[in-house]
Amino acid sequence: MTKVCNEIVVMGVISLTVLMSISCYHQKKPEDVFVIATYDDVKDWDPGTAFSLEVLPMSNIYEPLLWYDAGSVPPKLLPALATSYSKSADGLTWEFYLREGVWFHDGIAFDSKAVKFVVDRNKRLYGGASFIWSAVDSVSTNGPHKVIFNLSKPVPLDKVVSSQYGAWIYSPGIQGVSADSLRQGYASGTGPYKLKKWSKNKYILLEDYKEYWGGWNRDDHFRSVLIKVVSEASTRLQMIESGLADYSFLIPVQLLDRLKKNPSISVSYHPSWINHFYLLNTKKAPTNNIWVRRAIAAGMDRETVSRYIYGDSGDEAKGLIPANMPLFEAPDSLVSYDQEMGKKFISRSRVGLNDLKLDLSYISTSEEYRLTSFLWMDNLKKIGLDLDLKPGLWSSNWERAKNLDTAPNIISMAWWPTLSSPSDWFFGLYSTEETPLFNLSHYSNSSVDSLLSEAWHQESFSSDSSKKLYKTIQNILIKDCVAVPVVDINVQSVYKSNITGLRSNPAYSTLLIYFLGRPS
Amino acid sequence: MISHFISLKKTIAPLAVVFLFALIVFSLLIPFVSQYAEDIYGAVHFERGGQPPSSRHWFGTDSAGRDMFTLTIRAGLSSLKVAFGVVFLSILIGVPIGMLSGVSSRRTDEIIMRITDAFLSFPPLILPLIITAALGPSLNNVIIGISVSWFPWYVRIARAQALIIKNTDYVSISKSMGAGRFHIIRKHIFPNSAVPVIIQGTLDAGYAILAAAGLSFIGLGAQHPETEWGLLLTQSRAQFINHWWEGFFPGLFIVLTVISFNIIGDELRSYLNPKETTPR
Repeated sequence: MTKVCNEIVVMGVISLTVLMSISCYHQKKPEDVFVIATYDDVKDWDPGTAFSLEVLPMSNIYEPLLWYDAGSVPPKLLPALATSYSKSADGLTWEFYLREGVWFHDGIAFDSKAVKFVVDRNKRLYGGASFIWSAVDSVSTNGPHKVIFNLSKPVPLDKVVSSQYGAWIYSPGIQGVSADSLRQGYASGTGPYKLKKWSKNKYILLEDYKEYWGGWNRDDHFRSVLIKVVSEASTRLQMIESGLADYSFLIPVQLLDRLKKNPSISVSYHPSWINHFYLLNTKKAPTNNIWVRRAIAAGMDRETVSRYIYGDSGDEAKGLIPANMPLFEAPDSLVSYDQEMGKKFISRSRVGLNDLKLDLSYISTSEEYRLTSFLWMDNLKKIGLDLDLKPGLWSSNWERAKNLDTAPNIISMAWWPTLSSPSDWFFGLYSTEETPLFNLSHYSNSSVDSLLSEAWHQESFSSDSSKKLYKTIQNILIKDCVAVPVVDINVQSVYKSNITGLRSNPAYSTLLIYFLGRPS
Repeated sequence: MISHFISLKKTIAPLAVVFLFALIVFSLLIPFVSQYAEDIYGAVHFERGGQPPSSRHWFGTDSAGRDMFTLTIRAGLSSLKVAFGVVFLSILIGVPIGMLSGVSSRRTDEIIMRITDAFLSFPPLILPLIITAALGPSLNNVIIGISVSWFPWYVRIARAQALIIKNTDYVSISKSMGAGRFHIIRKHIFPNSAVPVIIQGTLDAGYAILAAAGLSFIGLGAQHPETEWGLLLTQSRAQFINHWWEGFFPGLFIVLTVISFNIIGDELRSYLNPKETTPR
């Protein structure tokens, strides 16, 4: 018995030691290091093709010619690497005057040749968001600080050069970088931070660029930025609670109440240009039947979703694009939640009961999608539709959805625009594609295609006419029931209360760390 | 200390049997007695989501407002289905092959043994994971995946028994009287191999539940609206910091069920094979 007692005491001492070591691990980190806990890593270090979560580090490493400030009323374009610009009366020639005394992180001077190099290279690579340059016929230089864009058709080029993706100006030095080095992590921009180290799927370390043209006038700015990849939401929450992170991305809404009670953490919401919706496959049975699609839409209870699942982080959708988007005008109507109407649509579809089986693939890592899918499944069952849920990672869901043989009837989607224009949703999601990329409803309508082209061109001349055209496009898509809108997202900011300078700009799904500080 | 432990085991064994029996009965009856029975079939009620345990909801509710007591008890049926399904399939495949291997020629025996070695060379969860991923996520495919990975153990047990029994005097006499290979398997080897196979099966039942819960946790097992403990655990993942009850009760039932199967397996071994129960 004594031996057993001794063993218990020894075990107790060991456990205490382990616990103490763990608590000691929670050391204080330096005040000038900004730690971000995010959910996924960079997949592509080439700024010419990067088109996903790269926006977080890259928007701090690279800069565009102009910034689109969607936070101001009305939205305006701010100078970045270009100080001013002008366009010809026909909208086909644009001149940009470039900032002087700017150097890339690798020591190469920023000039008009660098801009030409970037646009030509992006067009040649034809990946990521290179489509934004499709109207650019040629780029010419007029001295080191003036660049001229010649367009094949008039488009709002100021919005193009301020795009979230594909418009970053990077060093021509990239030509001498091997593909392997690029895969290992390479970056050379003009932005306030430069890449110091990347450990794949673990962290990205940035450090301030001492020669940044904007200068470092404040003494509370962050000298280093550590972006940590933490896939578990609960771990990200614990990191910010324990002080191991200064900013955490994507904390489930249901856990935010706990953080709101913590005085050392601030939780705020900002309207964004992100919306959540579902695309309905128009080619695969039974959703190739418009009445089945309408019945599905009638089963979506947006009010409950917005109220209980998204809470403050989502407002009921009013259209196919976020309601706070410039040039948005609400469509004439949306299919509203109505079970009786859903049953009527089903009977009009004349599809046999045995054929009313649908599958829905959603992003398994999203608690909001999971709960929304559960609700929708329950509602559709009451209408007479049998929904099979297929949770999975976005990459595998997307691959399957592109191919009609493996595509589900319904797929969850989140969209944030590359360009500051409603056209981004319509071009990306609903324009005819021979090989679908994001048109996962496999929809094709020539009148939508031509209206869309017209609306985009009109944006450079008349906002009113393009606004009307975008409304018409929405009405057609809603009539054809191609998508079921759910919520417009209010992005959450979860950060330590001692951080200052946080700015909201719906045009960019990122965090501009240059403006942040931690006053001592 | 050891004698205390043995007497404690003897007291707990009937409790383990009662627990498993009660679990079977209640998981079958819960759709008829619970006022939240519709939750089993996928009904959601967000207005009552995230409630802690109370007199109305003994195990609380999950984020979708489903009653966790109803779900946890009903999930027992899926887990027991996996336990019995895996053991039954593994025995069905493994025992005949093992006995055949034991009484066959050396060459046939070698071929069968090398094939089973190939199956056994995979780390425990890898083969079920590959098979379930290939067949698609569902509870039935989990049963198939785990069984394919586990049947070689039964091949080995049955073969070992066959090798011992085929050299006994009564089998030699039976052979000399003209009995064929299948007659010997049916009349002598099979009845005498049953004990170790049953003991192994009882012990494996608990591990099958654990393996299935693991596969469901990573999304390869049961799918909503099915209920299974591993699935309930994975659904509680994003919330467990706030709603401890969402993950605690399914986790507790996994632990209790696995322990119960292990205790029963151990007791069966002591009872059916008393010579092996020697104090270490």
